[in-house]
Amino acid sequence: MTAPAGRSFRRWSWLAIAALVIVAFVRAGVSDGAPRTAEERARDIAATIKCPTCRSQSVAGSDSAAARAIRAEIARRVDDGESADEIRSAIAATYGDDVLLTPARSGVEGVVWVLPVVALVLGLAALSAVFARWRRAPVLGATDEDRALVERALAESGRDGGPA
Amino acid sequence: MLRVWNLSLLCATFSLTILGTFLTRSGVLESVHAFSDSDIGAWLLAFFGLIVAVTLGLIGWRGDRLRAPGRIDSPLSREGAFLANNVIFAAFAFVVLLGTVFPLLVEALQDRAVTVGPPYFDRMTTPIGLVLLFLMAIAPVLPWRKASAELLSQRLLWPGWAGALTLFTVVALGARGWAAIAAFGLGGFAGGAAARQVALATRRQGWRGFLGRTNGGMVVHLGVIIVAVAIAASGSYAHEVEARYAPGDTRTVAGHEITYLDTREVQERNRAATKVRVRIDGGQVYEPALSRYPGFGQLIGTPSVKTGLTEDVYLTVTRLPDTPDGEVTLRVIIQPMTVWLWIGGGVMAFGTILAAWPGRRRRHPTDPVSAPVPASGAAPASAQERSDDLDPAKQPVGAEPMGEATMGAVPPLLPYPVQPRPDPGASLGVDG
Amino acid sequence: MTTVDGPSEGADRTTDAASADDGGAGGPRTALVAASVVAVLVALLVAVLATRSGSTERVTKSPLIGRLAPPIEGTTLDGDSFDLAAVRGRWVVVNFFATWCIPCLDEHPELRAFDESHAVTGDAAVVSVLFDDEPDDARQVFEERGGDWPVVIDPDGAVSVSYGVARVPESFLVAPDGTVVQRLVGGVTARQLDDLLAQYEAAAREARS
Repeated sequence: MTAPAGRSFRRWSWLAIAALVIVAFVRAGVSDGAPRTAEERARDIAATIKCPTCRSQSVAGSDSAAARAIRAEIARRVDDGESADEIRSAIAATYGDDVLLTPARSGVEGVVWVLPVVALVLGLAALSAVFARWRRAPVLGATDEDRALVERALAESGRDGGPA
Repeated sequence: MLRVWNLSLLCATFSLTILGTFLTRSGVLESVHAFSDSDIGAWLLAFFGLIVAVTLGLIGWRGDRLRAPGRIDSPLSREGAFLANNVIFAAFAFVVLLGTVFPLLVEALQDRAVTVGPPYFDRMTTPIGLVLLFLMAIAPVLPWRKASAELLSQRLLWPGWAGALTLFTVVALGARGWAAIAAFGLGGFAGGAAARQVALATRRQGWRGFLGRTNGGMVVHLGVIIVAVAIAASGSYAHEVEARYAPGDTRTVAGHEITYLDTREVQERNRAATKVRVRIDGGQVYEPALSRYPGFGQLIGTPSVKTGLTEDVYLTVTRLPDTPDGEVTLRVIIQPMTVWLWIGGGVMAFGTILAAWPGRRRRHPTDPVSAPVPASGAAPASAQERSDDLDPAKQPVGAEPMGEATMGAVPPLLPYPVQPRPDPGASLGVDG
Repeated sequence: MTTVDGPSEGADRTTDAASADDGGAGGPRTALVAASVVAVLVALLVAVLATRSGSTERVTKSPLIGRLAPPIEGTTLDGDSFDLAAVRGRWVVVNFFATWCIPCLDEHPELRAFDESHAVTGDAAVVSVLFDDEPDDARQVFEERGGDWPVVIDPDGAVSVSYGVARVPESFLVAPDGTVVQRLVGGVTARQLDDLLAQYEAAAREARS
């Protein structure tokens, strides 16, 4: 398993691996054609709405009275053909904006989405700047003092008779 | 190396635990009554401020003096992997902290209530988790100082095949959704790397190849991979159906047969429970219930779960029948691979025991890394880390383990002599 | 977009502080700079957290206030049909309750007193909506404790969702022109309702003059 395989074998292997991965991802991206049923769509929407009487459970996960009532309302609206955003707005219109589990993408709320990306970019930039600075820094050369130190240590270790 | 990181992370961990205690105890997040209800919040916040002030003050004042003179030569090295690991986990913590306190910030600024719930955390932490899986695959094969693409392509070949085949199989079996299949594929990749390390170690040392920090650590990696894959599967591929059942009705939900039998009332010591008897897959009868506790008007639900190796069937009662022969509304949730979360945790615990297993200690723990190791002479050194490029037969006996220092035997480069320990075997009491 | 002054983090480091990594060439004062930045952010966070006060005003806010009351159309306990639009022209107390809810039973005599006193003058009415409960249980409660205002049965909870009701008891005060003026969380008393009525009528009279 670890015998260094020939270079060309390895190259072909990696190409084959890349091919497998691409094929798999493409296949997985192509939906199987079965559209989401009304129940599944209702459940997807319910998973993004907070149950107002629970501690951070979604309406899909809770069985409290309010959650059941909201699920029934979502099911009614899905049957009416409303879109997910319309249904969410309708529920938030009576329960308040904090019933939506996901903050909006724009305005002050959008900060929570943008900030981690900004922090990541800044972090990567800082890392690359640091590495670039290290590469540019002069390589330390050995001074005569250092060489004497090494000689002495080698001599001593040779005397002790034990390798490191 | 990475000393200021080390110290900062320690201080951050403690500070954040105090902050977490404050957030849950003060009521700032959960209820509308914040400080007005409890005094402890103010004390905890003050303590948090004190801790942060002291640690930040010390790190700012003296942290720069702490640095080791060395530097990281190349980002593609084991040190580089440690650095990446720190940055990724810090990002993870940042995302969680931001999502948690964001409602408070918006309320302070705009006097508006917003909620940041599971969809946000899932969306933000999934890419971080996938990067972590990738790092878990690469890090064990990275040598210190510098790695070449050649080295990596050689060492990661079989793990790469493991990952690609896992991915292909999973997609062929019908899995969809890029995040989930990426988790499976990377899990296979990382699992392959961990298995490779353990296989190499056992090939050289037999059963002792499972022991020690590095090998036990690989078993812990396997546990983490199992947990990650289980999270991906149970989160992405759950099925849920809520339907009404008349007595005797059978429905098939995601391949399981759910049969409603009947309802019975049970008076227990502390509650009056109405148990709904449901048979799953023609076998055992499960009894989700709705109970009424005295003094509390509303009915409280009790779910019932059939745990299986591949999936869990989770039953709850939404609505009891109006008449004894009436219809009951049941919610059935099928979640795959839930039990593997527990199994993964168990593997992690087992791996920790393996990692903590005392090995053949060849150096006194408080000696510096470059101190001479007394030659055991009995057997080749049980290496924790070995480069594949070096033929094991060519390694000098008693050479230092690869994981601790740069490759090869290095004489001590210290300006003072280090006394070798007289009889390490006897003092440590370890078998040879 | 308004720039929020950094999300305060309690962590002792940001990803920026990766530059505080040692390597000798990381900068002679990187730790100091990073620590200062983090200190500022944490100070902001502590300031925000320290000023969070639980206010009950937040609870009684409702997106419905100022808007037309959502319609209520349904069957009452007596079997009659009810329509909120039919009661327009009078003050209406829309009350959500359940028989398993103790505070709801406590407020029942208060509602009864209010309803009876205003049935004489004809300027206010009460309508209740049953929230997640059995109609038979509600009928029993009304038999035992009296009261004959309409109680709408809400089988799917559609009315409670349209009013944004999560917990009971909860009441909404609807003006004669059909707009919601107040949301009352928790049990109400007759005195409280009368006071509110007087308050709003006085304000309306001033606005007209």
